[in-house]
Amino acid sequence: MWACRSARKLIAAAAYCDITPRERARLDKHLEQCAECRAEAQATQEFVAVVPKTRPELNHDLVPGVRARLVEEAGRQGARRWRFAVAGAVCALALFVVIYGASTRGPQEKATEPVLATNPSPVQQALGQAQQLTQEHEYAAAYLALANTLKTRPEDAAAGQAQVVLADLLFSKLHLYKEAYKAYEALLRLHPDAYEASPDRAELASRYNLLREAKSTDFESLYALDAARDFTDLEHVVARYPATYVASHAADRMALMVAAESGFNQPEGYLTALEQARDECTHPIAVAQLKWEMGLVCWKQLHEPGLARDLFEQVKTSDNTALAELASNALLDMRP
Amino acid sequence: MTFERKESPSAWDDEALALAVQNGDRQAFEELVHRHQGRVYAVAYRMTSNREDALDVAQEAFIKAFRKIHAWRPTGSFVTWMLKVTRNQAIDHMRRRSSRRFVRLDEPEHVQAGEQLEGTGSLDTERNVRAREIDARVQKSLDVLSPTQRTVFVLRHYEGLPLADIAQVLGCTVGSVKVHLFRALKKLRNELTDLYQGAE
Repeated sequence: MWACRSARKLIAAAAYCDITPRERARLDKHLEQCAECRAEAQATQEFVAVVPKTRPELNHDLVPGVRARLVEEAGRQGARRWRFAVAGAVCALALFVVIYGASTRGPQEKATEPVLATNPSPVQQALGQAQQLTQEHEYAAAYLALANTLKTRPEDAAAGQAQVVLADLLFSKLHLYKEAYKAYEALLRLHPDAYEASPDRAELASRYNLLREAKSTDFESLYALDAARDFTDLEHVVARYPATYVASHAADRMALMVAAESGFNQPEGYLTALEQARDECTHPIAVAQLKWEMGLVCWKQLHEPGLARDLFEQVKTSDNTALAELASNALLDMRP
Repeated sequence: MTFERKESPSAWDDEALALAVQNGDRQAFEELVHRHQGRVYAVAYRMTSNREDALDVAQEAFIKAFRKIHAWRPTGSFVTWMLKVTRNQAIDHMRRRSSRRFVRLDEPEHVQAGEQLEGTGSLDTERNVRAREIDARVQKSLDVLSPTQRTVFVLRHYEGLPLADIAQVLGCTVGSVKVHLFRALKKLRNELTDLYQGAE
């Protein structure tokens, strides 16, 4: 016999409509005959209906925190692996010296003094190690190899070069922007010669400016840019941080998304892509930002001051004061 | 930041991403975190009743998922597996928290007296205020449930997970899940009788 006990098993599931038609039929049949279970079913249904199904809102992006933790862990593992590898290599070398020495040296023969080649400095060694780890995608371990060596050898001749590599790892591989900002600051303060001599000096300056600007948002703007997955996300980033380097990067990615396969790397193709992106934008601030970017291309790359002026005039009337100010200043700079 | 032209992982489904993570693709994992953080946090909050604890649990759950990603099998849903990891992490966290001899509970989000509400006096506002009060009371009452009952109620009521998926999370039969759900609802009803008796 199908008892109340079996019916009660289904009452809760039925309140969420999560039972099969067969179970439903059996339950209904039982409820027709059993007043107690009927009351139970009604109370359960009422209760389920009255409890809101709200979801607590997450006002915090977990991605940067999770990324930092994974990087930290990978760094520890990588460092451990390197310690094992170095220890293994030292043991192997010692064994080789013992065996080779014993087999080649006669009893009367004196050990010869080892000939020292020009050894790489500790920071140069760390640079080599970091390069290899980077090739293996062990970015955290590469960072740790450099950071730990730089701590003990700040005066090493290769310290500036190492600082450039370290900052680059933090920025482009680990996406730890706060730390990257500090690393670029340290580069400019402690190793200005390495900065000046770098073939990527323009890129270094651009990154430093980007980070310095993002610092005012506690680097949220950069993380928002990283988290943006599609055109709409990028448009939101532009609308939230207009007239910033982050907005320019976002506009660049928007153009890339809508661009034709060829010609993006030429100023004309890039301008067309920006124009297409502008046409797809729905947010007025994003439209103004795209026009600003187009104006810059016309002015600086295509040397078309007339077109640039028209675009800047349009941006000048934008509701966004930061963009309007940028455009006004550009128009002043363009005056002969 | 990368500006190369390539297919974005955001176009992949969860299972393709999880397979990519198994092959060492961290970007794919970040996409999974981005995609499911709201849900994982919500479950963590319903299990712990505290926003800070929920953030800790959610973050730890993702770290654990990354470490144990090889335990996930492509035959099952990634979300179900992720919620299982979250649930276990929340229970561990609560266990540790109770051993610390103090419990922090978030204050229920009552509307403060005098607070200006848009459309004050309207039926919608009254409903919203009441819903928030009920939500806060239910959240407090979840403490009377056993961890398993709480998991079943949270996953079914708030997350809308089918009972069959909850059975996978708990590693038990669907029949057991039905029993846990019935007992959970019964306990909550006893705690909150005034809420539904006479409810419209």
